[in-house]
Amino acid sequence: MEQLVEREESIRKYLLGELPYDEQTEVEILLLTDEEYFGELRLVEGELTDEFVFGSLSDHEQERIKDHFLSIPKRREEVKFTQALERYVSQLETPDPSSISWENGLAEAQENRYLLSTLVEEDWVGLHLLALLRSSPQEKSELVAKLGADYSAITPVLIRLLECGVVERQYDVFFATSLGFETLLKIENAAGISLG
Amino acid sequence: MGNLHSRKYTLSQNDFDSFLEWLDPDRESAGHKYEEVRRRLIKMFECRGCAVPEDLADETISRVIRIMGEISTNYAGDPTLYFYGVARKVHLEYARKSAVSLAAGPDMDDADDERSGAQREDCLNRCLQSLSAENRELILRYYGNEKGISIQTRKQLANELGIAPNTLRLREFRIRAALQNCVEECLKRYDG
Repeated sequence: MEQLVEREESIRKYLLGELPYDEQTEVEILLLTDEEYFGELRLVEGELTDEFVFGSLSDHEQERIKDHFLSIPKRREEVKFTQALERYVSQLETPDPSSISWENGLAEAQENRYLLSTLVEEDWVGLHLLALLRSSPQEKSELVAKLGADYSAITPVLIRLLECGVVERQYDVFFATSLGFETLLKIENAAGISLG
Repeated sequence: MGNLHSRKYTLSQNDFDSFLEWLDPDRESAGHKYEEVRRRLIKMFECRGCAVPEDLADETISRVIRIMGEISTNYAGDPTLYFYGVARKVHLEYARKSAVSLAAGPDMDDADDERSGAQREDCLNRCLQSLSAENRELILRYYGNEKGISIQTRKQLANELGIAPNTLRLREFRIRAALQNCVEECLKRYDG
């Protein structure tokens, strides 16, 4: 166990660019010849990224990460990914019900009613659109073709979906938002169906 | 990186065949070994802070192939160690040539504008939905701890799942890697 801790400590120092030359050689030869060691190094590498994002490293390590570890574009991408994941998870945390005021509750109920009518009216076009956009971002022309409807039928529903915050638009492409995903999931769970 | 390739050399099929033969007499195993050596060289160059690890790994392999005739008659040890010697030389040349650009340091904000941030979140959402419920729950709990990922968090989660903390660590690593791949693929579709 102690050996394992020492080994990880030396990998950590190596990744932070802090190993003396002879020890660096030892680590690199193991990295090239020992499959298990290679796997361990990748684990520690991922954990350093996590700890950097969560700010749980010492000031010195945090600096070494910025100066050495993140000099590679691929690792900077990993940091961005972890930050996005951390942000996503923190947004999922549900608020304390007692903190929601009566006014907020009423506003929420009205929003839900508007969303529900957007999804079900016009022969469920809203729901079909949202399900299509969950599978992949799409342009309006693709949605029109897939639903076999015309532009004039789809445009107002898309606008309402945008207002409800279940769909977003970037340039000509529409896509489902986190709220859109959650909404579909809730409907599927409640109805015991899969919308594809 | 272009400077490292200043002497043009075209590899012949013959050179490449002798190289594979040197790695392993069995052609299929030689192919696997080649991939494995390349993967690990890339990681080593990454760990040394090189901005173009793939190029440096390919340059290392290419140099070894060029002197294959010499190696196969004069060198009897583990091929991987030979690669290591060449890789160090390649790195030394790279470090000399890129000293100025390395001094500039990384820029965390490069090209990560608001648009790509929103796209990343959207892709993450899609990719999380594609995980099994069990794996999704695991990754969300793993990253949902306000204090970050501590040894205590891992122990507690491992206890709940009835697995060893190290097994949990590996499982989390695999799920995270799969999730990241999925997000990268999804972001490419936006660019395409």
